[in-house]
Amino acid sequence: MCVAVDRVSIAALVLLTVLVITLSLSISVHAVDKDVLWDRFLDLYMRTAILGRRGVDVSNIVGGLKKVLELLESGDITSLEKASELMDEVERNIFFLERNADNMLLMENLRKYSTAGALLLIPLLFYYLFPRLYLALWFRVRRRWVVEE
Amino acid sequence: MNVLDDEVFAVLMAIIIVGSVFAAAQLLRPSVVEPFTAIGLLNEECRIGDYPSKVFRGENITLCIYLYNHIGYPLLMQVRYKIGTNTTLPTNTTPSPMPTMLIFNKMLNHGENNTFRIEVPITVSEGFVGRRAALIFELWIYNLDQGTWVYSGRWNHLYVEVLESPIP
Repeated sequence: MCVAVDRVSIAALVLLTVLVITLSLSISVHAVDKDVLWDRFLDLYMRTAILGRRGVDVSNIVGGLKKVLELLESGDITSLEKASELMDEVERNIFFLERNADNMLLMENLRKYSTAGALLLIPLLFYYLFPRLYLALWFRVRRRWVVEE
Repeated sequence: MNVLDDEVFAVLMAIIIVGSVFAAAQLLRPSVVEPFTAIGLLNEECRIGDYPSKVFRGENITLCIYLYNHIGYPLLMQVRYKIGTNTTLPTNTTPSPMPTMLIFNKMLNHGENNTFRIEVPITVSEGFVGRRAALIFELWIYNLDQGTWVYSGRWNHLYVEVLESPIP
């Protein structure tokens, strides 16, 4: 009887120890994960901000990072997993923008300076074309007029 | 034959030249001339005014924070909540020496603003009862070059009179 009780208590003790170890391991893994995710978020933010500072349109990425920040702040495991998945997607978009940033900026500058050039050409075009157009219109309006002595 | 009056043409030319130069200058000017950030403190209905003036020690009060980013690129912003007195307020260059009690993180793109509701605890020692406490909200931003949080030099504070919490 005494031996049986000892075996039960030993089994209970072992079970309790296993439970405590498992619990402590899961808590520590979770804590590490959150820190790792936060560091990764900061890295993604810095890459996004650098792109934004160069003049690249990063509004889509900022939208994604805002969602990631909300998920990280809520802190439960499901949210952290979602945040991790979302960060994968955001990182892909950042990578795409980083790779194409030079071309995008070149195209954007070309568009901007072409528009400015076109705007500055308007006075020149007006100077050459307006008197001719006005004259053509003037004659058109008076085409049925009869000149009498 | 000159059907277009020279003076009228000259006036039209002047208007066209000024208009086109102005439009081109608007297009070519930098998007951010004077970069800045802003923080505002609003009441629990997210409006200016009607702030709580008396609070119980240990209670939570609801307020709203308004943030605006006009730096020119996305910003990671942090609002740090502290409780102090009129001698421990932040300045334009230094944050309050009091410990941070709560942190609120927000991310804003250039030109964006965000107003959000917060609940802050009045966690003060018994010595504060009957005295005026300052609820301090400091704006910190994540610095890209240093890779750390830096105090932006902007803050809001609200003076409240702390009362002993009623016996339940």
